[in-house]
Formats: sequence, structure tokens, C-alpha cells
Amino acid sequence: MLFPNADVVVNPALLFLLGLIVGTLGGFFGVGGGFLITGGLLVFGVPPLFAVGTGLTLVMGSSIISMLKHRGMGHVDFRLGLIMVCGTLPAEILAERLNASLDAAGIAGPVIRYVFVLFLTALGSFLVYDFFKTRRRRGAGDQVSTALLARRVQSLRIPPHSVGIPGVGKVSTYVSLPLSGIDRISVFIPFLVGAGIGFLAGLLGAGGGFILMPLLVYFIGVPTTIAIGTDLFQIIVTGSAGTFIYALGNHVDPLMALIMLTAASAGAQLGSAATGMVDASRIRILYAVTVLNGSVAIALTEVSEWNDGLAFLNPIASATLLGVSGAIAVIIGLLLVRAKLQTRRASPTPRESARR
Amino acid sequence: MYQALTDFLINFSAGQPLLWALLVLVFVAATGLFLYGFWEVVLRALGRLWTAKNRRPAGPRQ
Repeated sequence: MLFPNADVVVNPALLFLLGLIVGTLGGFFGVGGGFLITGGLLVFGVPPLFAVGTGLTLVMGSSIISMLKHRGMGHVDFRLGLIMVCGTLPAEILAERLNASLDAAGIAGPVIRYVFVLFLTALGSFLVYDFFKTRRRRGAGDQVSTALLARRVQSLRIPPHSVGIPGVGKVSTYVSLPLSGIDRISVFIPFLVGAGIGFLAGLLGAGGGFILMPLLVYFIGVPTTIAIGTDLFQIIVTGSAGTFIYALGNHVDPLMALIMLTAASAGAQLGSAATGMVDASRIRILYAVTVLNGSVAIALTEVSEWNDGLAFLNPIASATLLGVSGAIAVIIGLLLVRAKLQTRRASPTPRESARR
Repeated sequence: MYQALTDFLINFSAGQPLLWALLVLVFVAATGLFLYGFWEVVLRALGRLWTAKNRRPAGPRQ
């Protein structure tokens, strides 16, 4: 099928499959799935800027669906999300400009891929390290190896400690985030985290959630499920801003986004429901496998472009990306089914009790 | 119809960039909200059916 805006022929079944996987993983991990979408679209032969722009459009749409689902489960800390958003937007606009300059120099594609590979590998390796370090503790659940670091970050005192607002008076720059279990934290910390994420989001064409979720958990000390919901709220804003900017430059293909979003909506429901029922340490190790898989696939794509003789690596990259991600989506589905069955066994319905 | 849609997408995106960007935003947000509502209704209906089926008391064993 020809997608007129991107002027590229892509099999819609592949887009549908990608959307379904992205929706499931996005709802479960609280990421927009930009690293998977942009990576996947690049693998399908979509031009880099369209892969980024259309990826952000899908990130925005699927995050709306997942965030609404998580809000219903009480997983969204809107206060924390709003503070981060204040830093995100200006940084994202700055990064979009840098991206446009890289594109004009003809190096946007390789730079996006190199930065992606670097970040995904570093992040995935750390998550695996953390999983093995904390798994021996009994009932590790939501314990992380950086709990001490998170407490130190929360106790940081950054001046100014208050600011004067005309008509309001002096306002403290420290906030309490009860939903995230944080008594007092300087607003500059989530603000700076938001700015850093916005910059990466604009540069990589992702919502930035794949870095923000682990940052909230490991750096700020937010519980995993709250980090997932809040992350999605923040991604809606970064995704919307990115979509608007890329659409202005005519680098979005709405037909491609619509096909993927339709599939992602079903996956988002499944993934979001699974988050509340699966152990937090399992969520994090599955997330580690997902990001390492993305890193391998994008690296293979980049290597395949070095030499014509290495072109055979491109379909391998495609198969790796979709295969492993699809397998993780299936595992999420199985974990949800298992958790539901365990819940039913614990509290059987009257009919089941009668049978026993 | 596909040709008309293709022409619209190409011409409107090239001729009216600001309106195009706003249209894309509104379209995706509205589609997202619609799809969320759709799945909520479908899943709730399925949940009700499931609960109703399981609440029916089992008859005495023969």
C-alpha cells in the first residue's frame, strides 16, 4: 500500500502488527514505544524524518489511550507530570531545530540510529544489572538497587528555596508528591529531568518515555506503577508537541499513524490492565529485554548500510525487532491471564464455590 | 475515493501547513479518545456477561 505523504510503499499488515505490539508494550511499560516505532518504521524503509514524525503521532495517540486506562487505576501523579512538562516543552523545541540541522547536513538517519543504540544499550544493561542485584532479596517487588540514590536526590536542597510571585507572595520551590510517596522534593529536580527528556525526545523522535520511566523509578524513587502512569501523561505532551512540529514540516503520514493506532488501542488496554497485576521486578526485566532488543535491531540496520554485502542484515533486524517484541507482548498477555486465574482462585465466584 | 483522499492529503499538507498540523493533532487525539471509549464499552460489556454467567447458582448434582 502506498502512503502518499511519506511516498513509500509499506505492507499495512506489518504496520498493524507493529501498532499492536507497541500498544501492548506501551501500556505495560508506560512508554510511548517511540524507540520501537521509529526503529520499526526505519526498518520498513520509511524515510527517517517521516519515521520520527509518524512515530511521534502514534506515541501521542497510544499514550492518550494508555494514560486514561492508568488514570482509572490511580497510577497517574498529575502534579509530578505537570512540573516535568514545564521543562520538557522548551527543550524539545530546541532539539527539533538541531534535528532539522542534522537532516540538512544529510546525517539525520545515522545520528538518530547511533544515539538510539547508545541509549538503549546503556539503559538495558543497567536494568539487567539492577534485576540481578535485587532479585535475591525476598519480596523484592518494587525495591531497586538505587534506593539510596533516590533518597539523596529527594533530599537535595536547590536554591532558590522560594520565589516571589506578584499578587501571590512568596512560594516555596519544594513540593510534596504523596501519590509518589515523596514527602518533599525541589521542583527543579523533576523540571530538569523533564528538560533532559524533552531534548532527547526531540532529537530521537521518541516520547522520551523509555528513559523517563526508569529515571523516575531509579533516580527520583517513584514506585514503578506510578512512574508508568505519570510517564504516559508526560509523553502525551511531548508527543503532541513533537507531532505538531513534525506535521508543520509535513513529516507525518496520518494514514500510517491511523492503521497503527487502531491496533495499538487494543494492545494498550491489554498492557495497561497487566501492569496492575504483575510484579514490578518482572515489569522491569521485561522492559530491559525490550530496550536491548531495540538496540540490537537498530545496530543491525545501521551496519547493513555500510556495505552492499551486508544488506542481508536488514531483514534480520526487522525479524529481530518484531519477533522479540511480539514474544514479549505474548508474555505480557500470558502474565495477565495467569494473574487473573490466581485472583479467581483466591476469591472464587459463588458458582465455583458451589462446584467445590 | 482512495485517489481523492491521496490528493487531499498531499495538497492540504503542502498548501496549509499550520491547519494541517492542527488537523493531524485533533484527528489523532479524537481517534485515541474514540478508541479508548470503544474498548472500555466492549470490555465492560464482556466483564458483565462473564460475571452474570458465573453468578448463576449451580444446580444440585445428579
